[in-house]
Amino acid sequence: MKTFKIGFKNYNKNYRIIIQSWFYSNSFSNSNRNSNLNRFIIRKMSSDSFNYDFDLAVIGGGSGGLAAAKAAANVGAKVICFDYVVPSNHGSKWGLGGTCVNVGCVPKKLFHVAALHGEAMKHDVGAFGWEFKNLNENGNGNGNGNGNGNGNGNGNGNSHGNENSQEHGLGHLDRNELPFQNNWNTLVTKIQNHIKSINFAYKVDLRKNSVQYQNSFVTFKDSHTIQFEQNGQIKYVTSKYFLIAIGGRPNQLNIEGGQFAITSDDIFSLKRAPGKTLVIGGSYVALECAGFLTGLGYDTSVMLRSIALRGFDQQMANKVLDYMKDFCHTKIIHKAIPIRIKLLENKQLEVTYQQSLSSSSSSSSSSSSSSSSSSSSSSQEQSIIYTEIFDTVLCAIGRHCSADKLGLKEIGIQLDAQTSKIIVNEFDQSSLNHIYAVGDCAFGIPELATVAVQAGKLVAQRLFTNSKQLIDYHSIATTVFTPIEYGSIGLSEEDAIAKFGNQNIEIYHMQASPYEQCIIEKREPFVSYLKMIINKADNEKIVGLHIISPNAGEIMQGFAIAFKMGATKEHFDNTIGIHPTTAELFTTMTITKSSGTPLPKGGCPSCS
Amino acid sequence: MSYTLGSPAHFDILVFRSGRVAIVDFYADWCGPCKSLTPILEKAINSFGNGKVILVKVNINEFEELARNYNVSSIPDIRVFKDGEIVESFKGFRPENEINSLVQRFAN
Repeated sequence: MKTFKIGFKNYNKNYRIIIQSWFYSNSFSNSNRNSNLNRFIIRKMSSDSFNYDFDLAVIGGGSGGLAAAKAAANVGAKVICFDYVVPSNHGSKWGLGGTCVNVGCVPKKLFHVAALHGEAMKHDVGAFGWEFKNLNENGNGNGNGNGNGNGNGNGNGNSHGNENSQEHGLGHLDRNELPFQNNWNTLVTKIQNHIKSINFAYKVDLRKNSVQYQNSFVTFKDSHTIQFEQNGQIKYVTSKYFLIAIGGRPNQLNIEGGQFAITSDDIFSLKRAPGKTLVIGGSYVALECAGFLTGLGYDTSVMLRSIALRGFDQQMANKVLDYMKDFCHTKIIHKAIPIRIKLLENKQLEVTYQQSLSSSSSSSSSSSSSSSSSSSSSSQEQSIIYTEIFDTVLCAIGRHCSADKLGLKEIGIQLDAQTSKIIVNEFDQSSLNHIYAVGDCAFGIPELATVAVQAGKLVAQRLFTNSKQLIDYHSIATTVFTPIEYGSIGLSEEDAIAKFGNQNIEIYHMQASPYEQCIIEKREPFVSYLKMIINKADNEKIVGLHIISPNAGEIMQGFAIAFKMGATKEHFDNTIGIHPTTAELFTTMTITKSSGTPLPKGGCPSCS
Repeated sequence: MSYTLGSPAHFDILVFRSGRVAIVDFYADWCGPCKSLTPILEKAINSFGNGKVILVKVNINEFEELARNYNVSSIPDIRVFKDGEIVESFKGFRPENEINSLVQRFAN
């Protein structure tokens, strides 16, 4: 591409448009012609934006911000993207890419996979014939396992004798006696290196897409001007439009010693192995973290104030919790709230918590805790105070937005009182028409990275092209990556009944052992479970689809498209399944909840 | 001789004013293939450099602007400077025999 330099000083701005466009339309090959004519048109139409430094200033370089910045630049807008990470109170910080890349989806999935590998080695591979070579009486393997990260397999297991290892392989060894373990520092380093390579790739990507990038914290000076610090100087930037995509951060524990708890901001880069961990919260963040920590071999407890996975289908949420408790042996502390955290001299944390006594939920205090009873002020609930010592406390009790630190209120932008999220209309606009917000920082929007990406892209298209497309927040498929994964699209059972009425809803369900596990005796009680909710009053249209299964995320993605297209039960019944899989069961659902027919107990799904 | 870049000015001295062929190795601490390639480059320069070829290791996180100026978009990124010009370049890992012959070519 040839570049032309012209002295602009003596031309006024309108001349500049015309000269630029002439070069654009004449210097490029035919294949580029359309996009460059587009640029000419856009520049001419937005010529009043010549009063501003940029057409679009994006604040926040995460999923939503980067998507919007690139989409806008690709249609010719002049874009700048600001990104800045305020360190957590434990000092954690990270590079370009936002929550998803650095402290969310990406590391979460990798830690989850690491834990699954460990679980498979502990529970599954033995049944399939895998065993350590030359397992002697002391359980020391002379094979080439990676027990302690340096490539030799010398563990310190106590096997029950060599003659058994031939028959049972790894299956008979107690999970604590297996001669391998997870090396936390190896795992963290590998995953952090991967994240840093993504940070770099994103920076290169912005450059390639002609988006200017500035790593600075910005605040609004007035409704079209933002300010930031660069090399000790205050700088200003004006823009015609703004997109705020600053995301959210974890809430802190508001109790004495709450600052000693870490959050999801810290866990994925923790410099020392977490050890015995208490996870406070019932959100998917809490359960996913507790899940992989348990799977990596750490003594893990989850403290729930009330229910788990609020907002999700509760039957499925309880199945997730039951699996974590009964198979993985994560300790669940029900109906409890932390009161105080004390930092001990040896750096451990002494947690004092209060647990309400109630019928079904039982406490799981370990022998190392002490208790005293006291009755709470409310009428019938008795509660007991416990203390227990942990190496790490991870708090996952919700997220908030830092929009209140940007000077938005001062320019008239309405924020939600509780979370400080930005109130937006269906066009993703804030109280000021030219300032948009997408992603976790927008109030009422599902907190999903892919939602932010789509929203960001569409805002950019609506601003700079003829597109009028709005994002569809319905029928978004999600998956919780707990040790047993839970994938869903559409409504929960509770919401479906509330919306359509019990008489119009029919619920089909099925269960079966996944092939990955059906020959493993100890996994027999833990089956995959599928639930299909249909609206009888609307041609049996599917209004909710749920599955508990390994690989639930991969399974549900395809069904999301069918769901979005308005699939009915008949569509599913007429689809021939792939065999042998778990997902195929969605194509042969015959048992309804209302019929009361018991589900098959498990074991391998039959071929009929 | 292998050098790890200490400052942007250092780059100018090593690459443009040392009178030797400078193989510039753009790398980062988080890059796996870089960890494999750099020792091979160092060994080749020691064995076959003849004092005429030097290695200049540039950490792209420390020297972002320099990396940007040379449009480094993936690493490892190797540029061979001779008389102030880039005469050869490649990206990604290369095996020992290729690196050895590269250094030998420029040492003569």
